[in-house]
Amino acid sequence: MKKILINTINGLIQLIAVFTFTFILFNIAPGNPARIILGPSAPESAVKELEKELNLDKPLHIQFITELSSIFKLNFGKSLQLEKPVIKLVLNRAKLTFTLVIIALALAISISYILNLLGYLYPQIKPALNISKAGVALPAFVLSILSAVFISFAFPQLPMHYAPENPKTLILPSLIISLYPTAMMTEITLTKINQNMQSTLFKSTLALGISKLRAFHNVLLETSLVSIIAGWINILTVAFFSTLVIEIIFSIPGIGPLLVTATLQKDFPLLKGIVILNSAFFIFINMIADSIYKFIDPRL
Amino acid sequence: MKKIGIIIISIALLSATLTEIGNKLNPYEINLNAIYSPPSPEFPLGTDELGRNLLARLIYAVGLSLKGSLITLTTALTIAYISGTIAGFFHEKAPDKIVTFLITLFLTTPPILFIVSLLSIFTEPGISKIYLAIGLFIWPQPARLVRAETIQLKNSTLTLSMKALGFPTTTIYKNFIPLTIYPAFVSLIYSLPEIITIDAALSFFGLGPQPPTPSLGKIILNGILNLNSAPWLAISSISTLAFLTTSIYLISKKIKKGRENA
Repeated sequence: MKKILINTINGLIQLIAVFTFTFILFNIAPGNPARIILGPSAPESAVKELEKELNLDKPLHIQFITELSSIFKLNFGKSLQLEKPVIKLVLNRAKLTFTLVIIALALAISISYILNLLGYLYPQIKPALNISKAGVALPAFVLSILSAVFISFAFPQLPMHYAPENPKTLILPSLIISLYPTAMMTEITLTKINQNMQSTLFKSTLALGISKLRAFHNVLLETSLVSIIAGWINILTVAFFSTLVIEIIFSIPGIGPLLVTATLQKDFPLLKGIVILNSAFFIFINMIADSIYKFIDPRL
Repeated sequence: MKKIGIIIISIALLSATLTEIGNKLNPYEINLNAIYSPPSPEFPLGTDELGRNLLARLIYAVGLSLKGSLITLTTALTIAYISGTIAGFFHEKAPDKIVTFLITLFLTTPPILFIVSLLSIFTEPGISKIYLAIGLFIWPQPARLVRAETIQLKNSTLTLSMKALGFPTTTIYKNFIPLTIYPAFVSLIYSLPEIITIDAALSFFGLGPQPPTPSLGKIILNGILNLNSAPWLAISSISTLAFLTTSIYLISKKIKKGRENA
């Protein structure tokens, strides 16, 4: 119980650190953020007005505290170009992005489980599973674009554009995103399982007459579970990155295009909101994972 | 230390050769009457949207990526080494806790978000700024290794015997530099494909070097937008990136194996 509390506090401090980073970046560092947003040719009066709107003329510590308290009330301000509250924009888009990410990761974990189970039951397949090591060689960005290009040539009748009224168009992007995570998960599980098959625990389990399937699930998987979960968390970050890229290719209205327009238009409130909300998601997932490790392996 | 020097000099030499070759083939010459022309004897890989020689642009872009990755390597290595050694030296005390906190923070969240926000402040991020920004967010992984090695060395008999012989602490740690920095360097070479990919993704998002300068991400973006009308753009650009990252990955595996055998 105490560990969970420590993890939560750690996560909160990490979140505040991310907030401090964006605060330093967008309020302090550039010198005059309003000037950067409006460009060098804007009149001085417009700059002063923007400053007032973004609370930039108040002393720094008051800015820090007002922003931090408004974030805890989930108020990230309004986007400068789209005139809508930042949090509504980000959450709307995040629905699509995280649907893709979660589908890709679920595929990754199920396919790697099935492949490893088959590889265990029929050891002849194991050399074929080494292809997953090749899949890990290419970074996720390259692999996803390569497969997108290849698929659009091999199967020209498949839709390469997302249409909101037809959810089936999401299948192809999520498959493409899941390629790298699947390869990575298969490789991690395969190495761990091969390692654990040499252990005396496994050999004695088989010698005691326990069935192969039971031995796989109760012994091999349980001992590799910590590495599997750690790998899964690692892949989450990578999958998020490739999702941003795939969204641009397939014109899916997710966080990817939002991030691009926010950067090009220098929409600082929106950028701040995207960075803080997404980091909050990852920090939260890591918090949960850290608490789970203690249940799986009491030695940790 | 000798290996580190050899690797850095080879990367620098390779990037210089590639940019020179690319320049010789003229990546900037606009031929408005040959826009989007397919591969031909005159343009071995075809042309892009302004009629520029794609082969020249790709070679030049690869050379630029390698040159920039040197900047990232040096920044990341310096920050990783300094923070890792401080964390290892003050193990279990305040500086170590701060550095570990930073390392976990940067490893949980995807660095792309921070890099994008850092670059959005500048109106026109040039190449060095981009790679500097990437280096600023890639150091946690090697720093972890430096810290682990420093802690291990600090508790070893080597330190104990040097202290007993009366060496000042600075001399002891000066002798540790090659021992602690090498794993961090190998890990960075392992992340070299990732660095090049992040840069390609940044120019894919529109944050790369500005138009006349060729950059892999921009060429890939153009290729994908014109996938049906000019397939050679996308195919050649993404294959170049795939080839580059795979070869670096294989070379880094060889380096890692060499280290384990040594």
